[in-house]
Amino acid sequence: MADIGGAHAGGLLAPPWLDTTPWTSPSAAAARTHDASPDRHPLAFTGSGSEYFRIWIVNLLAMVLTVGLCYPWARVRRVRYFHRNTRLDGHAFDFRGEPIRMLRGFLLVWLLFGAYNLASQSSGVAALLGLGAIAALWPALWRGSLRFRLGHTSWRGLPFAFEGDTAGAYRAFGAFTALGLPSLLLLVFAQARPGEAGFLLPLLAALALALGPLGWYEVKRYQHRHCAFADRRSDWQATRHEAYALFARAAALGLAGALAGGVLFAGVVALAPAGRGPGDALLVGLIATAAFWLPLAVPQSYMEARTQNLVWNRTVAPGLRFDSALGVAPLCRLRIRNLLLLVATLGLYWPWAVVATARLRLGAVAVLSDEPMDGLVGTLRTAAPDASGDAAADVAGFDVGL
Amino acid sequence: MTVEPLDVDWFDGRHARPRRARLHIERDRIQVLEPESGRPEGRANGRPGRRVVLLELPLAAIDWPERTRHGARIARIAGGGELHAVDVGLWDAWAASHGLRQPMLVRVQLRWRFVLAVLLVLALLAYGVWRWGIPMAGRAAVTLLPPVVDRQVGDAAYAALRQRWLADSALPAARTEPLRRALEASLARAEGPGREPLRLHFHASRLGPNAFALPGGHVVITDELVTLLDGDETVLLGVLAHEAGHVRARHGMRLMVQTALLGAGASALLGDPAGWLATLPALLGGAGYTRDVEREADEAAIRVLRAAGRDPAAMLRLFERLAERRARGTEASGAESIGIAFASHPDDAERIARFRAAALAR
Repeated sequence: MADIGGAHAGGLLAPPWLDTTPWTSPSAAAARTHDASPDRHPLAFTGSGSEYFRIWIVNLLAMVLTVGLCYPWARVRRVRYFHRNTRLDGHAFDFRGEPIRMLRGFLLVWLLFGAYNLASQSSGVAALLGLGAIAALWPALWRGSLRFRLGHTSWRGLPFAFEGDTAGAYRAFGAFTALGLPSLLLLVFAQARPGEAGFLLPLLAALALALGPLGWYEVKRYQHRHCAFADRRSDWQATRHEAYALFARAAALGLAGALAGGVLFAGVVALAPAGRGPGDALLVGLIATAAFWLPLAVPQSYMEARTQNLVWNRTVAPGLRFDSALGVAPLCRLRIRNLLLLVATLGLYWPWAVVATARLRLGAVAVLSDEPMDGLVGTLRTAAPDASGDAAADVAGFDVGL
Repeated sequence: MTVEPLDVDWFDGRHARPRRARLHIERDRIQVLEPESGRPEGRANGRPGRRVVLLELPLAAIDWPERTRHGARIARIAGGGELHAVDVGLWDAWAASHGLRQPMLVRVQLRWRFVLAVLLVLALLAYGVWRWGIPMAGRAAVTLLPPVVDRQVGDAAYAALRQRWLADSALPAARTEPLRRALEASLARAEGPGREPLRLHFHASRLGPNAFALPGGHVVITDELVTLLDGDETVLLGVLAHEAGHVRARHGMRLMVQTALLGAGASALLGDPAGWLATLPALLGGAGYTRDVEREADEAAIRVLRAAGRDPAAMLRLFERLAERRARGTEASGAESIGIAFASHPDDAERIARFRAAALAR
């Protein structure tokens, strides 16, 4: 049973009138909600494409005029728009990220990737070293961004928090490292001796199939095991077997999709009227490429829908569960429609595409709560993650623009 | 002017249950009041309105939200807690009546005519960058690149082409040597001494009658072109001078840099949509740069021909021969397929006019 003891934890930070609040007492709340079926609260997205288009366009102009420096401000406005248009049980989420703090992380990442680009142009060894440095820093950066993103999200005034530690982040990426290092070595070997590299592709594919799903599983588990809201901690109860099964099915669909795509590609090229020059060949090439990617929308949607469902259906907290019922067919239809409209409008349709996707994906999720959501109580932890005790050790929640 | 206090849902930051309250602003302080308090009539009648203040803060401690059409209005309280609007319309009216202005960016995006103006400005900026910004940047970047880079790129490209497209020339030295010497002599007269020698190659090729230049000084001309022009030395010289113009001005590297910049710019601008979509503007825009570059090379050819004392109008014979070949159906034309957008050589008509004008202007 959930612990709603926070009401009496009055401390220096609690307002002085706390004792006289009209909130229901814990015992009454517990007594009332003894019926078996939990309350179901679906998420809803209320934003519109035209409104987001206007935000996006103004952001774009600001970015162009400031040569990208105002990116953190643009990002905050975008994230806040999406948060404030996501409703749960009558109230919306909020994002309290400060653009100034995000500027720091943004500049850091920009420097990192800029250095990597420069290094990769001068020599292969430098490129490898740069890649190695990025890979070594990546889990810490990723964890920082999770802390920032979640720590600055709130619902009904209560902040979320991410409580995973850095060591855990590195462990979570263990499988991917195990996949990445041999792959890198194999690639270097292939470059050095192209003749003997025939067995490379199947080997890499086998490695990816074996370790890829595990890597994804570890990362998601880390991510969903250390979330906190009010006084609830989350847990993730999926099994490795479920992850492998999902990826195996997606891979099979992907193979079928690639074959279908290849057939379409060849068909377009074969049926195209004999080209009269480079312009024609280019157009045929573009249409053929689009025809190749179209059937791949099916495995891509399958992957997206099923991973969302797996991730959320297995996320639990005391007294709270999630129900994600995103269907593959509606998502696939949406993806194809978005793709066609994007091509037709040369990319201007993008804000509408993003809003439609958010509406579909969020609308499929519902929160199942054993008691009314009103009863949730926060702990005495202060809202901003920067104020946490180990601020010195942790690069303290900065946003890396992920 | 008394303004009705505003009904809000107040979250104190520790409980998920909202508390209905009213907001009242007095000078620079904001008060969160009990729901039934602060009735203006009470005060107007001389009786003090019953006012139970739950929270009082300086106005600066509240972070006012943007006005959006659909989203919630959530005002953050410094130190924890949020104020949520109960009625968005009333909230906006109340905020406006208290002079809580929206930041300029928000006011711009709220009105479609401003947004259209922004679109226009963006379009103009994009055009300006494409037309002038990137070519300038390309020229500047190329001056920073040492010539050794050109040679490396050109050598690699030549080696690759020799493997697949170029076979050994079937022309006797008696035909190629005079051409080689004439080219060297004309370039020496046009450019002066001390320039890096060109590496001229003759090859038989599946490409048909053609000539092209690679970075670092490689110029390739196919046997088929020499045969087509029947050993007409002036025209062949013009063609070679055109290609030499490409080499001297480092057009190959410039095009590479400009295409890369265009691609990077396009993907930064349209970053989020499908990655390969961003290559479309790069392709379309890049072809335009090629046309500029071909124009410059034509002008270089005219200069070299004049310096060698030959008539630039001789080049018209090249276009005649090529047109005859097309009419015979033995070769495809490159320029008419999608219209000018994908054409990499300017329309033949444009080039013919240029050479004709060059002859007349002697």
